[in-house]
Amino acid sequence: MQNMGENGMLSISEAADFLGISRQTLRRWDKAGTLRPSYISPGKHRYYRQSELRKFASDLFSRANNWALASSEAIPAADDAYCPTSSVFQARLATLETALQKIPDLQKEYRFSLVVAVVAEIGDNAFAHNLGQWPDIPGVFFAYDTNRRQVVVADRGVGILATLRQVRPSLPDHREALRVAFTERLSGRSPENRGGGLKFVRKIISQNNFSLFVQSGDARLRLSGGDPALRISSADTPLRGTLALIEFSPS
Amino acid sequence: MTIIQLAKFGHLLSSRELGREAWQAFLSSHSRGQLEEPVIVDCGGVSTLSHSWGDEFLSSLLAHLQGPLTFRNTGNASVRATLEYLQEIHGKRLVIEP
Repeated sequence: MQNMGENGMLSISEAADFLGISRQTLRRWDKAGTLRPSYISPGKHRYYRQSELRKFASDLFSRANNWALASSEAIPAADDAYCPTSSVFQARLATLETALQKIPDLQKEYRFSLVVAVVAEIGDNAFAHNLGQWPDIPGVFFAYDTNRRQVVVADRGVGILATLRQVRPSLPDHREALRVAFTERLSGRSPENRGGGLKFVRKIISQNNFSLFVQSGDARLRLSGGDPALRISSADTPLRGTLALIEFSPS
Repeated sequence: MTIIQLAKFGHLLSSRELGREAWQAFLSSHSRGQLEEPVIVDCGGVSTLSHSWGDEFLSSLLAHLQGPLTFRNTGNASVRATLEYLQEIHGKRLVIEP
């Protein structure tokens, strides 16, 4: 297979380097159907077309959405984007921060820190509000692409409505739960005096050239830079936990 | 006068859990008398400050302080955003120096 490189095909080691993951993860993804090789040689060696890897890597949102929606049996035992504990999430957050620090337009006044702070609030919420209540797989799916300027965070927790109903049982639906989460300082962990993290997120997104998409249950929310208005609508496919996409355009 | 260098608690300051931990560590190493003196919080060296960490540590500090409080080296965008948000929550005007 000496001509594979010339054909834009990469060996499993080269593909792993290209995606920044391990060869073991690629093998698991093959078995789980997450990412199949483009070609398997008679000697059972896997080869990946570079264009397909590029497309796969760029579609973080689909990967996060699939992870959040899949049946628990269909999820690969390990995925490099999977953070089973808050400590692992914190460590990856530091890696994200380092990557964002290299983007020139985010260096002025440490603007990268606003992106990190938003991601931190969303990820920390997932761990804090699902502690002891994870329905199946604990933790979050957390991945980013600094070229496409996107970060995704997804969890398979109980969702925002179930969390907030612990302190406000009268909440009627997911749409209202999303509205309350982003507009009121209401803690889902009463009697602790906390809450307000998502209001802080809204403030940062609306004051900067960022955008946010969040889905929980059958409700989705969009928030864009320069506009504090929350656009809340219905989602076609309900999601038990929460899925968030943060995009940070150049200033 | 007491000077608190936030970067001594870490450069990336996020999560309630870590903010609470930092506050407990601070309490155990400072006397009650030090909270009656003027306090300066030096934010220099912090790479990211999230609201949750700030709410646990700085809101606790605000609640315990009896003397004036000043924030210094606040050029980091997330530091400024967090301090501005804490001002809103507590309805207090904080002394924030660049």
